[in-house]
Amino acid sequence: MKRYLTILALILALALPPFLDEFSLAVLVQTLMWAYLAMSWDVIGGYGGQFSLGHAAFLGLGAYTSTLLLENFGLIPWIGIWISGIVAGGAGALVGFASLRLRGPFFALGTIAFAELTQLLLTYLKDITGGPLGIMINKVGFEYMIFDKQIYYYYLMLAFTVFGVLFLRYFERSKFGIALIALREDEDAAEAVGIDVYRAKVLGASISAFLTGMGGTLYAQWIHYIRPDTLVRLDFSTQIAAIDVVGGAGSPYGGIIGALILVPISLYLNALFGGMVAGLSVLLYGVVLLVVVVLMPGGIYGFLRRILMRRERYARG
Amino acid sequence: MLEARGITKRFGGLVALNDVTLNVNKGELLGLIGPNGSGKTTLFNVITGFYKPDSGRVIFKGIDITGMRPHKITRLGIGRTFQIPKPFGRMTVLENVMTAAFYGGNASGSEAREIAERWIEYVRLREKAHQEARTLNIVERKLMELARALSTNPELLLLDELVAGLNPSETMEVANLVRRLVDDFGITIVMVEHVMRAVMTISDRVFVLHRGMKLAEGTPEEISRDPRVIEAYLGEQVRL
Repeated sequence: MKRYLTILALILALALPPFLDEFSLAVLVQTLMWAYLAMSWDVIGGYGGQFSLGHAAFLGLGAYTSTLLLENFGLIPWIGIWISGIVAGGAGALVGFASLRLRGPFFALGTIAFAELTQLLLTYLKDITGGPLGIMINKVGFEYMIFDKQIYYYYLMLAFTVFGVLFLRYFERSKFGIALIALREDEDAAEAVGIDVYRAKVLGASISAFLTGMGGTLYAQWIHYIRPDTLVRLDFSTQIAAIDVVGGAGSPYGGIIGALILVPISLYLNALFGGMVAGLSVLLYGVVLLVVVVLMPGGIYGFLRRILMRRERYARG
Repeated sequence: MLEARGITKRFGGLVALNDVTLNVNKGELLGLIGPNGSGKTTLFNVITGFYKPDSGRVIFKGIDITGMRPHKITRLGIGRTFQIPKPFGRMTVLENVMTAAFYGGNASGSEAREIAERWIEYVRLREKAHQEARTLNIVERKLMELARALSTNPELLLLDELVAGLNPSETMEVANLVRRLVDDFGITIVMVEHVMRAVMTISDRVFVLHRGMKLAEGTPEEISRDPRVIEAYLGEQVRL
């Protein structure tokens, strides 16, 4: 049943785009991108239970790395995206080290500080990054991962999203994934059964940041213009986390579910009222997050799964 | 097998352990007793690497493990349970125990499942194997902790108040399970326990801590006759 549903969704996702206009496609492109970012966050935030509110820093580092490599050395983003991942992954390891000392809300605050620091560095290192004015990417072409039609972006983002789901499905059953879940549930018990908690946290944060950094390249190639303050900002960090928590943190499908619900609504709201009511989409994220956290602790995915399991139990008698 | 030499551990001004020396011989069941706050759990935490002692050394199988991280000590062959159980709440019982076999026992996927199922069966939790650990009651949680510790394939097992909170018949049942681990599986065990009957019945040797210091050491018979122990510990209960 679940398999047919997955295949149906995939066929729909592949066949639908030619029938859609550019605006709708742009909405879907962003939905998929946020879904991928939320899944990247899930590795450390959901499975590892380390609530990062600084993932925009990895997004920014990834975007800047591949863009600077492209602008200065002509390195195409298809290769640059991997280096973006590595740079962001290195920064992620630092955040992982921070999580060894900072617990719960203090870790979240630490990651906010880390993102602020990243934004400041990107702004002040003018000679390298172009400073507060940012960088415009004036290239078009497949080799630059920059397309003139949304439909190409759509398939690119879809590929990354599908990869994200497959990765998480593999990850949550892997030996390393189990270590992260165990330490989320209880750090002392994890150590007592032989798990190197420090290593798992650092590696987990690093993997999460690596994936987010790759997302940064995707974002830069889509938006063509990167600036420290529009990229490394707190509401991006919270959005990444909120999408995953609403959809269902610590599950392969949470990111997609959360993004499908939150991203289109917030984009339409912004398009409708953006000029008049500033921050409406931020409000939406806040309200939905609040409702979900209070009413459905496992997110929407966890809620649906509980209902399905209950029905199965009834069916069995 | 295990030597803790001259262990001292302070918390601020409180001396939790004061120059305690404890030897554990291979193949024995050592009961570790003492009134509340006498330093039993602290000693466990020092041995398993959760606390660093202020002075003294811990030697296990000839290796100095003082200050080593807990997961390394587990992999060297010391398993433990916690006084207040620490289950991986949103994992099933089977997953909890398999995780231990995976990491502490260094087993592959299918081996881990086999080992986990065997120990779950041993502690009589088979019916609960596919339930989330957070749904277990306190007794079941303690038994799961025992299965989890056993799955790390320990040579030395430290049990922290395993039978506290059980009714008398359950207590003796679990005590027999513990005794069989020594007799049938050759595991060396140190158990902290408040329930005198359980300790005195199954221990080969008893070690008494009082206010962070060693008070007495000997066979259960010697200990239950020792006037100092009776005064410090049993006497308390008589007054109750």
